[in-house]
Amino acid sequence: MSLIEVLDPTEEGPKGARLLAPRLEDVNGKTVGFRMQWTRFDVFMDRFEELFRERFAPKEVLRLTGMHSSYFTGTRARESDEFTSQLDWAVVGLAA
Amino acid sequence: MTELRSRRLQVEEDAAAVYEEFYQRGWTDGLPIIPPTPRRTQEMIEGAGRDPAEILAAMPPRMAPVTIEKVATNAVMAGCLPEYLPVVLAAIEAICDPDFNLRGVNSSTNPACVMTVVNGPIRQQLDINCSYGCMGPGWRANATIGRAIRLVQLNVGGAIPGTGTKSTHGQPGRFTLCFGELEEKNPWSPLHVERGFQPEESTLTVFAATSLIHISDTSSKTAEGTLTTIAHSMDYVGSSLMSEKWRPHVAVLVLCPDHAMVIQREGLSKEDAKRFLHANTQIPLARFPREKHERMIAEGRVRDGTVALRTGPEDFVLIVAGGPTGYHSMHMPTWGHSLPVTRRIRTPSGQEGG
Repeated sequence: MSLIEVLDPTEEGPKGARLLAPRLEDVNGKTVGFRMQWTRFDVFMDRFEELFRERFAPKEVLRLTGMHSSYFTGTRARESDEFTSQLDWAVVGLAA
Repeated sequence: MTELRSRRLQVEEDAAAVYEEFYQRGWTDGLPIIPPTPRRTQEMIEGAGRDPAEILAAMPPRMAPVTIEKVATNAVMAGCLPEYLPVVLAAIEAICDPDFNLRGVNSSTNPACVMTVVNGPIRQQLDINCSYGCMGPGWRANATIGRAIRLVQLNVGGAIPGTGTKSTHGQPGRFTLCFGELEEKNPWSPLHVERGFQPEESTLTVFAATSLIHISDTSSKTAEGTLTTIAHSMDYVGSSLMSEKWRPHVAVLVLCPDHAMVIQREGLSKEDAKRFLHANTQIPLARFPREKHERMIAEGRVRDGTVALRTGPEDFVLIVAGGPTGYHSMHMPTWGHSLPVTRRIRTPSGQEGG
């Protein structure tokens, strides 16, 4: 059986792993954010918030609706930055 | 001789065995490939006169560096001739432009694919089909350039179905979709001139096309009749163009030469046609599900009881391609958050514009 040499067509991504933020010890008394990226995430989020409030006592629950991807600048970017800066913990909904 | 840095594998010297090996490793689109030997890859790179180590971009979603060598290797697999490589390289640079948003295009559940439209003299130089069947099989340049663009996304960008790309169905355009504009039958400015290039320059433009919608009107004899048929073939409620108002994206219309002629012979400019399309793609709110009405009104999308397909005439892109006879045009909605990107094609001689 004769062999031929071929090249690997793939390439690996960056090696560095992203570090996760430290896990919160407790969500009680914290400011929690729900970012509703997709329109039907509210179905899940409403129920999630209901259960969340039953079991915990957050300081505040904030919501941000609509698309706020990195594509946007201006008002949407400011809304996103302001929202994020207020939070201790966040749930981001991609779809439901 | 160019120095290649890729890992090398020894495989049985048999076309079917190489295909099987690559398929099992997840390195193909499912179709047979040309074995990317070092010699073939070197010839591909030398034909373009580029440094194999040159990095074009970091390709999402994997964010791996795309080198000339990796593009050439995948172009060999796709069946490209060495002279096609400058087109593939320009396309890779285009889809990695942040405006195109390749991360979103590939990671979305939407079926968007990369549609590549070539303009300028390189169409003739490479025998890129702009005419009969230009979006279908039968032309090596069209088939293999588009396929190479996809293979690079798979093997370098990591656009692997189910992991790197979450498209619910994908679509045939994800195998290949590349054609030239039939500028010779375009009664107006060709696409690249409209986008700021000179007629003698060779360029390509990439779009995130979500589907190919056939529009048939073989009986309208007027511009109004033809454009009315076209407009109401574009303005459907489930179009990706009907997603949120603020998403920047375009409605692509590939007019057949006969439709373009019918529209132009009454003196309409391309801008006139775009204005007509925008004015006549206003969908009555009643066609949308009632549960969406309140939100659409709150978003300011409803005006006089209708919802506009796009925000303005400038969001319509008109291209002329296809066989010179036959009254069949094509519409491609595009994926939100992705804008078309045009790049000049750098030829091996170093001239920009072929």
